[in-house]
Amino acid sequence: MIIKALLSREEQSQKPFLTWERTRSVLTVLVPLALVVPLIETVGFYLTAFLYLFLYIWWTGRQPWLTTVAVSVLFPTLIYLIFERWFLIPLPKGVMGPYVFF
Amino acid sequence: MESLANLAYGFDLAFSPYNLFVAGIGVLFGVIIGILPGLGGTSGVAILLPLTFVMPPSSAIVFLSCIYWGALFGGAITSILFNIPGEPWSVATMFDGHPMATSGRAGQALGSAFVPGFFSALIAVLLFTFFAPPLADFALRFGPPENFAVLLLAFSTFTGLGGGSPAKAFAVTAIGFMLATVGLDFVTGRPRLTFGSITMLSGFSFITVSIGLFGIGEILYSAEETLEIKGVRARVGLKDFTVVLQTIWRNIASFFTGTLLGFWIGIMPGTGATPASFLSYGLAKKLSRHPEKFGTGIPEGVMATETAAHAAGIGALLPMITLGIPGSPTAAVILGGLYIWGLLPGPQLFTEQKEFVWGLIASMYIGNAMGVLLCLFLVPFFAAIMRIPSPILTPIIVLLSLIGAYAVNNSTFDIWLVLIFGLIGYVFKKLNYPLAPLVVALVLGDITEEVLRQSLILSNGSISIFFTRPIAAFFVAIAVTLFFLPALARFWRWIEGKSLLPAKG
Repeated sequence: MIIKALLSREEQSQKPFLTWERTRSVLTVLVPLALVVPLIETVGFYLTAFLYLFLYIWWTGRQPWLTTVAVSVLFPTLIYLIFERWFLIPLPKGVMGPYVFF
Repeated sequence: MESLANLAYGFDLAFSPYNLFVAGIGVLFGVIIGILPGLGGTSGVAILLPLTFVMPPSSAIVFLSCIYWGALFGGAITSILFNIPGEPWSVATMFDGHPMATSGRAGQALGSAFVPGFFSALIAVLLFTFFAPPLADFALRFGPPENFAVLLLAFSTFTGLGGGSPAKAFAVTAIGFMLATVGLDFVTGRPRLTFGSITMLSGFSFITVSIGLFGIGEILYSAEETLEIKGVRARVGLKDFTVVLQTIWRNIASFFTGTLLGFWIGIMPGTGATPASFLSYGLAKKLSRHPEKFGTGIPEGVMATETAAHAAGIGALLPMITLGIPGSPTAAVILGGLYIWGLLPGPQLFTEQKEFVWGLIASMYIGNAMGVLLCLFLVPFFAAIMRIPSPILTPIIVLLSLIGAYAVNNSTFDIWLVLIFGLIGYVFKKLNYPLAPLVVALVLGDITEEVLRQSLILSNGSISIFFTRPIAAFFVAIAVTLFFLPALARFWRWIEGKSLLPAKG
């Protein structure tokens, strides 16, 4: 039984931790995310959300233009209505804050 | 029967229009969370937790628990129709569910997931209704040493019964405790491990950590696989329904084993629906008269997994409500919610927050009924959600996770934490480190420390207080045994292996 366990462990260790292809698909999610976080702090949530959705869907998804634009406009609007208006939880607005929302 | 009177009172509360509305929305969100492979029940509950800040606690708990019930139902849809697990607990549902679906019995497969799942949840809630009050009564007599012993027991189950590597579970639990110490020391009022930073003073919020670990971590993890969405279209017809009822009737023994096994595993801290579903599938296969048919597409296989998963979901809330110890990672997040709403989880809930407890129990009946009805009638609609392309879904889930983390403390620092913990969660998942102990240790860290220090103040610093009080000693003894169980098991196998090897050679 122990030998069996050792054998299966050896098999496992022969599998590479990450292949290049997998790394790339993880990075396509991770890199935009790492950019989004500081952007939310500086230019605010709504503009970031719009840019992120628009660029991400356009870049990785190759979706029809109408879908891309619709999702990237509608989603932040919906979030605005739910959080800002209904729940009264203001989301970060960064430097744009005083000019856009009141 | 005091329980029945209380239950009637609970139903009164749960049937208020607002609570019904909240329950319905919760179940609907839950099913959608269950269907989406990149979004699990634990992170789903964590992301939606900020929405409960505008609700009274008794409705908030209904909302969160209904998400859990919905997710339990939803996972099966993805497993059966798309051969992709929507949730970790529906992996075993694929084994028989998908073969059934591809051979033209998709409706029957879905029915064998939903209907037995509902009935087993119902039995589990009944058990809950009658077991919870006496257990809470018993626990009310606990002092700090007993509470510490119970918590110790909860943590030792991670290493003892976690299934994976005990050392990894231990390491992860320790990390959780370390994160929990950050912030104000509540006894002396001194800041700990804050490195002079004011943002660190409030410590690590478990929501941020669990959204990061489970939510972002899961998205990164599933980004590795480019999922090919090839589904089977199906709806559950009336005929499927009768077939399913016949299946339950013919396998009534297997149905009850699955339910009771699931309920029991659900109660054990740190296990939850996922191990319950695998164990139940294995057990049903072993006890079956035709084990070779398992995996080829038989309804019993689907039924065995789903009954255990649903019963475990309910069971997981039993120790949470009565002892303040979550039975599963999702329950841990709900427990954290209780602290945020200003409630102290534990047996005193039953005496001080009757409305909260019995409203929750009544909503378990209602939420599960809603879940099964929604799923039975709206399968085509839910299956369509899977056809939303992942380039659209991924950024939406990411943004929702970030909002969820931000909304707890209105702090952008938490958004950074989500990013960091997302990376940690991804790497841990790749290295097979269990994530549940970390979150549970973080949620329970403060209370564990509190009762430990209170006990030691009581005993003037002597550790013997945990061995001289009978109830505490009993729990400590079980905890120690569980903790060393993996070592004992290894030793046993070593002896066995020694005596067997020559025979093999």
